[in-house]
Amino acid sequence: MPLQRWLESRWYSGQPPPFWLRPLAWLYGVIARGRRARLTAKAQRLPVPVIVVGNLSVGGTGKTPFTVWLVQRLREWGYTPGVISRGYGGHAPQYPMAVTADSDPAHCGDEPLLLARRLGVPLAVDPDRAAAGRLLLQHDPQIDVLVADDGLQHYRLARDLEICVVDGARGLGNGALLPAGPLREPPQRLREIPLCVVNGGGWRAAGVACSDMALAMAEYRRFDGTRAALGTLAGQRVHAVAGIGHPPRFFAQLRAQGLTVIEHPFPDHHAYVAGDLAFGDDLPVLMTEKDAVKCAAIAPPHWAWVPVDAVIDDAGIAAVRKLCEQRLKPPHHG
Amino acid sequence: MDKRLLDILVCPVTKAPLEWHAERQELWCRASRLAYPVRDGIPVMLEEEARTLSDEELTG
Repeated sequence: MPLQRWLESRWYSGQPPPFWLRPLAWLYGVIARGRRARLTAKAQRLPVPVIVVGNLSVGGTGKTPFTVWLVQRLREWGYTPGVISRGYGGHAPQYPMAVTADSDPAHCGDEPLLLARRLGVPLAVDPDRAAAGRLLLQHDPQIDVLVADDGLQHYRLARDLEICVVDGARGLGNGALLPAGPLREPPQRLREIPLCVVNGGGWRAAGVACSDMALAMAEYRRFDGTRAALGTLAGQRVHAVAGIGHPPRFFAQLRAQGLTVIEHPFPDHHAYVAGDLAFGDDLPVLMTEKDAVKCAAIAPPHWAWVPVDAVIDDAGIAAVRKLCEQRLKPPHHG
Repeated sequence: MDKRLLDILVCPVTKAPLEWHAERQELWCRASRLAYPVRDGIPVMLEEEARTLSDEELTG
């Protein structure tokens, strides 16, 4: 979407937004406030607590790795979590759609499929997240908490806990609302959110509890099922493929492991065709886990992807746990 | 600098409020003596990117 790329260049690396974008941003703010009030008034409350993991800004912030981390913690703490998502980038024949490890990403979207494969928890997608939640609860009545991947602005769904993920290097960009800036809601919205997870650390906000998150890469996994430590590729030239919100982060992380990276950025949620990946040499090819979900059919067995794990310090873990204990009912069999 | 953004941002090191210096396109924190760059309207709130403020700047 050339417009998206042009706007993004203004939000993150252009001059201050041109004058004609500001009134549009003002209008966006008015519409967003009206929409929020109207939807919150008739928000649907599900019979189990709901945690929304979202962000204020458009674009990649590291929300999916944090969602994986949170669901794993919830299980450790005795909960039986389910995950609901809009299924962005997918078009299901029918909504709500239950997602399993072998669902088609063109139907459910790449992030939900990654989550389903990685976590093996009940997961459903539907633009109406409440309907996705109800579908899961029908199939799995022992679910006692639902985690919504994205949906901070999905006010139709009542929620018990909101966690916002912010990219530490980009923060809230220029602080302006769409389309003058990357924000779906004004910066002050953060003050209503009990915990902000900062991907890459650094960035802080007044009156907002912040925890740092790092994204760790340790190994790469080939499509033929074998794995190896990333360090074994140190000093080598590799093709790096990333169709995610912020490809430069993936390339920088590979470089941090000592790899020489040939960059192949693609738009977020890009649907790959063989031609996209014809590099004409036999250098190793590494892609993100999200891209691997979509490339399984066209990727040769020796190609690989690099899973990323969220790493959060003890203080952050304690903060999340305390919020869950305060905001969620105790686990069913806890 | 967007006023609402300035209201909410604090120094990541000390959590103290920041001063906007338009002439230098920097956000200053007196508590940590650090000046964070603002590049193309985007505050870069990373300690390793910040510049240490001189005594003159702090007392000026």
